[in-house]
Amino acid sequence: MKVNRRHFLLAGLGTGLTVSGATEQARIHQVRAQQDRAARKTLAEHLSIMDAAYASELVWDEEVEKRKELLAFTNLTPPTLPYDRDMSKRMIQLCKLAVQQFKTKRSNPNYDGSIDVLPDYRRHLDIYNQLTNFTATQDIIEDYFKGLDNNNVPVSTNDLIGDTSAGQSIKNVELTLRDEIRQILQHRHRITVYSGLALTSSDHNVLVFRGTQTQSEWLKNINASQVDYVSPTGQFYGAVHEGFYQVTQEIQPSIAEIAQQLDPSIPCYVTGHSLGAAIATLAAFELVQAVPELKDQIRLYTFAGPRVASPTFATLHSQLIPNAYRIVNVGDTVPLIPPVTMGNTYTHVGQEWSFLAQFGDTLLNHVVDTYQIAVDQEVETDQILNPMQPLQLG
Amino acid sequence: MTEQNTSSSQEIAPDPSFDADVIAPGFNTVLQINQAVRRLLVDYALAAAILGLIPLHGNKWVEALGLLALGLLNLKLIREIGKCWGYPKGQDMFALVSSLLSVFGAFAIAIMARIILSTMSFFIPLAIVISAPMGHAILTWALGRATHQFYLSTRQIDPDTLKQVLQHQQPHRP
Repeated sequence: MKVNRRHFLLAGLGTGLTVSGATEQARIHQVRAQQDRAARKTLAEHLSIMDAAYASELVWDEEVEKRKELLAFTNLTPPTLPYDRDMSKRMIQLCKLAVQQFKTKRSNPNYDGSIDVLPDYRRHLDIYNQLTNFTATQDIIEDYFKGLDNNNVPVSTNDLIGDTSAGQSIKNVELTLRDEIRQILQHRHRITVYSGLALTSSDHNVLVFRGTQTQSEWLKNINASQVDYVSPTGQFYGAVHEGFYQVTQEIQPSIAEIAQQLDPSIPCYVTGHSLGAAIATLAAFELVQAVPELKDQIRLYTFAGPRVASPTFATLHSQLIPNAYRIVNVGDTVPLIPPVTMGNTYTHVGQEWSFLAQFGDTLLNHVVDTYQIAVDQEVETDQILNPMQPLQLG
Repeated sequence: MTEQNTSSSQEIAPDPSFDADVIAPGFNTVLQINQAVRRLLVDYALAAAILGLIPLHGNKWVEALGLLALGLLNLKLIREIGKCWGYPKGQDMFALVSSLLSVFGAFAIAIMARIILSTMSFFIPLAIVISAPMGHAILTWALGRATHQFYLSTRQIDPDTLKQVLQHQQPHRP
C-alpha cells in the first residue's frame, strides 16, 4: 500500500486526537482530584469550626456551672434569731431619714443633723437618743457659671463690628477667654456630708447608713476591684469591694470609736440602703472586730445591698454575725452587681428576704420608698421568689 | 396524436450545433479541477485540524503564533486553489461580494462550531479536545470552498493557461 500525504495527515490527526484526549482526560482527573481535596479541606475546616463552637460552648457551660455554684453558695451560717418585721420596718424608715438628713444639710448648712425635725420623723422614734452623726469629707466641684451656656450668651463686639472676619475673630477670642475664666472660677473644695447616724435607746442601739448621694460616692461604687480585709490584729478575712471599703473607712467617727460607746449587753441593729447596705455590712464586721462582746448582739438588716465581698469574707462574716438579713427587690438591679465573677468573685452576705416590685424603671425599683412600702406591707419572704424559676440555666 | 408525438420528437431532438465530443472534454476538465480542489480541501483541513491539536495555550504570543500558522496555511490553500484554476480573471462584482460574504461566513461557522463544542464539553468533557481542531478545519474548508466558488464564477478561461495547468497537474492525478 502506497503511503501518500493523506495517510500522513490522517495519522497525524489520529495521533494528535489521542494525545490531546489523554492529556485532557488526565487534566479532568487532576481537576476532580483537586476539587475532592478542596471539598475535603472545606469539610475539615467546617468540622474544625464546629469543634471550636462546641469547645466554646463547653467553656460557657463550665462558666454557667461556676456561676450557679456561686449563686447557690450556702456556706453561710444561718441566723439564730427570726427575722423581725417590726424592726425591719423601723430600719427602712431610719434609712429614709438618713437620706433626708443628708439632703437637709446640703440645702441648709446650719442644720445640726437632728432627725426629729425631718419630714418623715415619727413619734415612735422618740425612744432613741442620737448618739452621733456619721460624716464624711468629700471633694465637691462647684461651677459658679452653672447653667450659663456660651451659645446663648450675646457677644457685645459682634453688634459693634458686625459679622465681618475681624468681628468673628474677636468673638472667638471673647468666647475663649470666657471658657478660661470659667475654669479659673470653678470652685473645687472639700465639704463634710452626713453619711448616717447612730442611735441609742434603753433596749437596743441602731447604726444607720444612707445610700449613694454624691459624685465621689458614685466613683467609688464603680471601683469593683477587691482589697484584702485584714483585721487590726493582722488576721486575713478575705477580700472586699475596694470602693465600699474606702467609703467605710472615710466615715467619722470611725466604727471602732462608736463600738466603744455602745452597750454590748443590748442588741445593736446595723442597717443601710444601697451603698448604705454595703457600708452596714462592713461596719457590722468592724464593730465585732473592735468589741468582740458585740458579736451576739449584732442584727444586720440591709436593703437593696450590692455584693460586697468574696465568698471567704462572706463565710467568716456569717460566722461572726449570723443574724444578718438581706432585703431585696428581685426587680432591682443593684443587688445583682458586681457580677458573681468579673475577675474577682463576689457573693452576698445575709439571709435573703425578697419581694417583687416592678415599676419598669431602674431607679424606681431601687429607691428607699419602694422598699419601705414593701416592708410596711410585709410582702418580703424568705422563700425563693424568682419569676424565672421554671427555666433552668444550662 | 401522432402528429403531436412527431412534434415532441422534433422538440427534444438534439441541437445539430451541440457537439458532445467537443463539449464533454470541457466538462471533464471542470470536474477534474473540482476533484483536485476537493483533495486539497481535505488535506489542508486535516492539516489545520492537526494544527489545532497542538497545545498552544497559556501565552498570548504562542497563541498568536498558532493563529499566524493557521493564516499562512489558508493563504497557501487559496494559492493552491488558484493554481488549479490558472488564476482566471474577469469575475464580476457579484462574485466579489459573494466571496467576501463567504469569507465572513467561514469565520462565523468556525467560531460557532467552537462555541457549540465548548458548550458540549459541559456534558461530555472530552468534547473540548476536538473544539479547536474542528474550528480550524471548518474555517479552512469554508475558506477553500469560497475560493473555489470565486474562481468558478469567472466569465472566461484562457485555454492555453488552462492547458498548461492541466498538464502540470496530470502526474498528480490518481
